[in-house]
Amino acid sequence: MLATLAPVTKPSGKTLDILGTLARLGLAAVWLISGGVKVADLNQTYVAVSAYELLPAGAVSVVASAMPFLELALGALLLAGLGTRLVAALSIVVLLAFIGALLQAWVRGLSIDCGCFGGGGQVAEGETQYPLELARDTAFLLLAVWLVIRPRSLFSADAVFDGRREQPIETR
Amino acid sequence: MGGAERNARKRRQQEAAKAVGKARGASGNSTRNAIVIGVVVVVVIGLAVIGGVLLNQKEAPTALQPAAESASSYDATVQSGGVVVAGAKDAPVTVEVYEDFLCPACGMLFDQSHKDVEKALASGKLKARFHLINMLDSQSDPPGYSLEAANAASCAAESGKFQRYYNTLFEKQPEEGGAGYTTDQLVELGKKVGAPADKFGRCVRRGTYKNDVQQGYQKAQQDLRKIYGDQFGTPSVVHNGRPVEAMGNPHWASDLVAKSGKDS
Repeated sequence: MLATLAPVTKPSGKTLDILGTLARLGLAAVWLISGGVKVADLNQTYVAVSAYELLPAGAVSVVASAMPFLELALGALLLAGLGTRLVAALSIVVLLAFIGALLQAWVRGLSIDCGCFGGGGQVAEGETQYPLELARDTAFLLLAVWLVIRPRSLFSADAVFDGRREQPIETR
Repeated sequence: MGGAERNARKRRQQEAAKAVGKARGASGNSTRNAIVIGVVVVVVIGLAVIGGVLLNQKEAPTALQPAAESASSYDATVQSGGVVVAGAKDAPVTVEVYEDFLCPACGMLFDQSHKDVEKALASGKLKARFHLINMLDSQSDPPGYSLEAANAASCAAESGKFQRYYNTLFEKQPEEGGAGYTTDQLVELGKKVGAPADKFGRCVRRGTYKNDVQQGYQKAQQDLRKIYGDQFGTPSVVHNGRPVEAMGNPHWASDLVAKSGKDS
């Protein structure tokens, strides 16, 4: 009986796999929702990107049109669990860029909404929410960091590709 | 960015492959899998980004048909400094109206109150100085719709067709972040409202009033800052150097005329 329950020899591994699955699906949901909302209103996304006052107009246009689809692609790959570590690493790069853009807006005293999940653009002076927006992005960043350190999770395409995982093949 | 990442991944996969190989005596194809997965990831993301950029070749809002003729009509002339003066020259009340053709709030104010404004202008009791400013040039993609539209509306005033042209641009206002109307569409609209085709087309394409509009915007910033402080914006309505609470009051124009009549 015990012999059939191989993971019992590594109980914490199983728990970590479940946590990894939650991190993967959570981050997938973040990207799919934020990308979907942005794709649905690309004009608004342009306004949101230009509000950061970081890029020349031509670059704003390119970034505003590419970013929503980049987010959707990251979300879809995470949902499938394909190349989890690589996708999580790319997620970190994107999230760091977002956090950097937000920080510079805060430091410069711009009155903008981050436009993280739709919306965005100028807001009235007292209505900025930088701490909340930064905390949220940092939380997402932690999910991605987990997946880079330990990309293993349940129901992932990676597991299918790497062969049956009932036998723990990694020892760390 | 993924160099170290890929190497680390490869190493891990190779170790895994060895482990699998030892455990099962199977040939290690995990390395190949890792490469396949890496390629798939890169291709999916690349396609998404490139597709997004290509898809987003923004098109101008389609057909631009003129707004309906208004019940009350007024005359308007274009002045230097990006100002169009509407209504009777000797009207007792003069109001300054600051608007940008791309500003959503300006479109809202227009929807709420343009009938009342037109009536007041047509009655000869009100004169409006429309400051058509290009504050939101950066908010269209490609940028500059505000300036194009303000120039075209000035051209329409020059041709004696301001009212309907101005009404159309607000009634069918393009979305912020979108392309705005093209120069061709702005020229075409002029013809549709009866402006002389050659003269109007030249005026729009050459940008005859663009300098005036830009100077007007500079001046407007100074004037509005004096009244509203740094938080000025559009639309702004000013009477005798004081702000008029126009937003949310569809009858601000007739109210202003009535109130000023009592004052004097």
